[in-house]
Amino acid sequence: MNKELLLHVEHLKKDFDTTSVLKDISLDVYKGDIVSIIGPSGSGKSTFLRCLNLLEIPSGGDIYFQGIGVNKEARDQQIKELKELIKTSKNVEDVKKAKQKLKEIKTRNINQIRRDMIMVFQSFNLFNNMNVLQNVVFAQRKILKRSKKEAEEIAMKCLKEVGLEERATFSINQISGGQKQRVAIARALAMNPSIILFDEPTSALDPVMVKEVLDVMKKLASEGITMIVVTHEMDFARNVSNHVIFMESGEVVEEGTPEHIFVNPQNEKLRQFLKIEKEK
Amino acid sequence: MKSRVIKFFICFFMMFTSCLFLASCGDSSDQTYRLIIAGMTDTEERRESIDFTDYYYESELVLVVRKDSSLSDEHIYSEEELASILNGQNLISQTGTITYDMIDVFVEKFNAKKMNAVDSFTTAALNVTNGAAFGFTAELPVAQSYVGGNADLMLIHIDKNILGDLLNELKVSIGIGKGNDEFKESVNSALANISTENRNEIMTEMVAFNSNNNEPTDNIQSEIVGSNGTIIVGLECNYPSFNWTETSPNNYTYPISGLSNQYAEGYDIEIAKIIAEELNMTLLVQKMEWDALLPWAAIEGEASSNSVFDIINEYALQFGYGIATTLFLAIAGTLGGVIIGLLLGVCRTLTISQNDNIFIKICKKIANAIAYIYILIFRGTPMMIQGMIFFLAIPLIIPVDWVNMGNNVIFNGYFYCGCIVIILNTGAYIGEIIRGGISSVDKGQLEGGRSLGLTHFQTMKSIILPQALKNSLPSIGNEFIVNIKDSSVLNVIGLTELYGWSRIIINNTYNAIGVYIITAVIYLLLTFIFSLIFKLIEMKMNNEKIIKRPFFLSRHFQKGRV
Repeated sequence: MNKELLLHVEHLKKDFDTTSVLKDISLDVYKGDIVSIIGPSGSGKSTFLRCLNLLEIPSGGDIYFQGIGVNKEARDQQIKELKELIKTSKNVEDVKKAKQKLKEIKTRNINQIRRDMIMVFQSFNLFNNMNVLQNVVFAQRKILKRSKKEAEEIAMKCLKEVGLEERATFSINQISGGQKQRVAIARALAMNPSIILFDEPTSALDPVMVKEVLDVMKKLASEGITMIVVTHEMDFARNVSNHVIFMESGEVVEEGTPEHIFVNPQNEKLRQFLKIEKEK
Repeated sequence: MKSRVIKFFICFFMMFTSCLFLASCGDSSDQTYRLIIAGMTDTEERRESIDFTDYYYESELVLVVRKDSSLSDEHIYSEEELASILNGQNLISQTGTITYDMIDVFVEKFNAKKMNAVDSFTTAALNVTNGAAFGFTAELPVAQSYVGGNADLMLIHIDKNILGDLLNELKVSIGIGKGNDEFKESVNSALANISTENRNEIMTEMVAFNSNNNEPTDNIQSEIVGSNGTIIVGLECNYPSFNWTETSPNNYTYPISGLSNQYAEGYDIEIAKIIAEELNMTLLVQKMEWDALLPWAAIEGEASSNSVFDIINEYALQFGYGIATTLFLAIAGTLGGVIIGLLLGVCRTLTISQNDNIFIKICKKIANAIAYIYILIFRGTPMMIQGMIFFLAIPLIIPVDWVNMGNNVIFNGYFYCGCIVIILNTGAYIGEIIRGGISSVDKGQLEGGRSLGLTHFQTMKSIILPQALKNSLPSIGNEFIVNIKDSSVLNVIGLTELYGWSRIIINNTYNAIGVYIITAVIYLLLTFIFSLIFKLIEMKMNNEKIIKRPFFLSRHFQKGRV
């Protein structure tokens, strides 16, 4: 089966002043993948995720989303190559395709890309001056330009999906942490993104709320939504995801299927890490 | 809340009565007479508080105009001549002077225009040199000292008879407390010994002396001591030729009681010396504000009461105008300031992302710089000076005539100018407040918005700014209350708000202390009422219940308890 390649990352690097937080990360994500990124604190997991939608600017390497460059260097390079092709190529078909692609790159700027690759944060980042329903509706109306009626219908559907349709009129400070995270997930779903990025979604929650949120994420996974999840929840990584990456000190130390990582860990550092996680 | 109001009024009542008590205290020493020798004219209204002697100088009213008006200073201009020269021209003078009131004669007879009074002759002269006014009216000695010191000005003489009965007002007399008729007669006989020729000689000497920068001399005037009692002469020391201060003593100066290194000098001091010597009395000199002179002299005599409550009754309408103008200024300033402040706050918090092209990057940097400079200038200079610069400089750039813009008591050109100044000034302060408000909004809000694909401006407008404004509201409310008081500095441009009206009322009632106390109380009531209103708004916004608590505990301690 030919799965569609959604995200292609090559040799991603990130330096903060003198420290190198990401050394050389490469990753391919296909449609329907559930990718878990695990590792000790400070290994660069969150930084990596935030580079994908340019909340952090990478210092090197390239990111391609659905074939279009995300970071500036990649885009500039692509545009340069396409212009070269248009000028020099003799093949009419190729030139036509190149012109189309050039147009696509120019219209799909970072804002367009971000609405297709939405992030769910550890600290929820819901809009505090709006209520639950408005939070889910707002981006739909502003970016997707849906009508009020349509946006609200879809919002209620998403809230139902995460189990919060009864709290639609509550203000943000009236709901619990687990509920807030679920609203954040609903907000992301309402935009029909190709990928949802999760940055330690349950790290700020107590065990009961963690279960709430993980249940929703499992449900989404079973519906075929592509997800990249940075997490400390080993059960999720093991049972739900189909691709696990173990990072340490800015490098991918080990990656593979859950069996490869959890059942038969080869790498010493990985074994140490899993041992500590198991004892928790 | 209720107990707070009650406690406030108790404090206020105690303050008020103690002020009244202090104001009524006078000192009682025998054989000491208080005289006002300060270029003051004998008027009916002033005679309600004090008595006057015969006049000790007769002044001439002249007009100071620009040299380039091609008039002559050797000619006495007649009614017919003045009718054509002054037709439709602006005339100005210092507030509270007889020369300002005399402009009415020119308005009536020659169709001249009377500008709002300004706080000093220096400002009046400035209005003439920059063209806002055709000329200013002044008494001869004052005019001479300004013409002597400024190459662009000249004075012209006018036919005395134009002023008719008003001529009496150009005569200055000595003020003395009521009930001292015997002493008053001694002073009159002492004055009679100084001939008109003598008087003019002394005045010419004083004008010449004042115009040059004199070096200290060795021949220093010694204090005059006598055996028949003491005369204390009260004067303002701010009326060149008649009285002014000097820091180095010379043969004309007399030491001012209670101040080291300050000496009084001028025509009034010369007359005071002559009287003290003639009557063989000790001479002391005291310096005080013009408005304080009458109450000071009246303390010993039988002054008629011009009590605080009479004033409030009679001048309620004027105080009302003052309150309305001050509130309009404060409201306009704060609302306009919020609009400007929003722009400034947003410009100061712009972020440059990797995806902007070079043009947008430059624009953002310029916007940030402009906002920074604007805030720097308007917060770094006093609003008083901003007002003066704006008032005087704008007519040089745009053909705008502040003086003749509208005849309404409240809504005139001065008011519009003042509104613009207070809006620009408040805008800078609120800009900083909003910048702080934006920074205080959790950064995650911006990240959440951007990661959904919203642009910077979309997130700002719908998510960050509403929260920033909510955070800033207490500070903005505070700015409003500060504006209620600070609007008083705009009086310098001629705008009559509450403080301006209080000055006018003082000139009419001569009870300076009382009027100032009333004005202070009005300001206090205004600020207190609005601070209560803002507290209520804040509480409503945060959905807090209004709880009772001991007066002196701050809200901070109570917030945790429900």
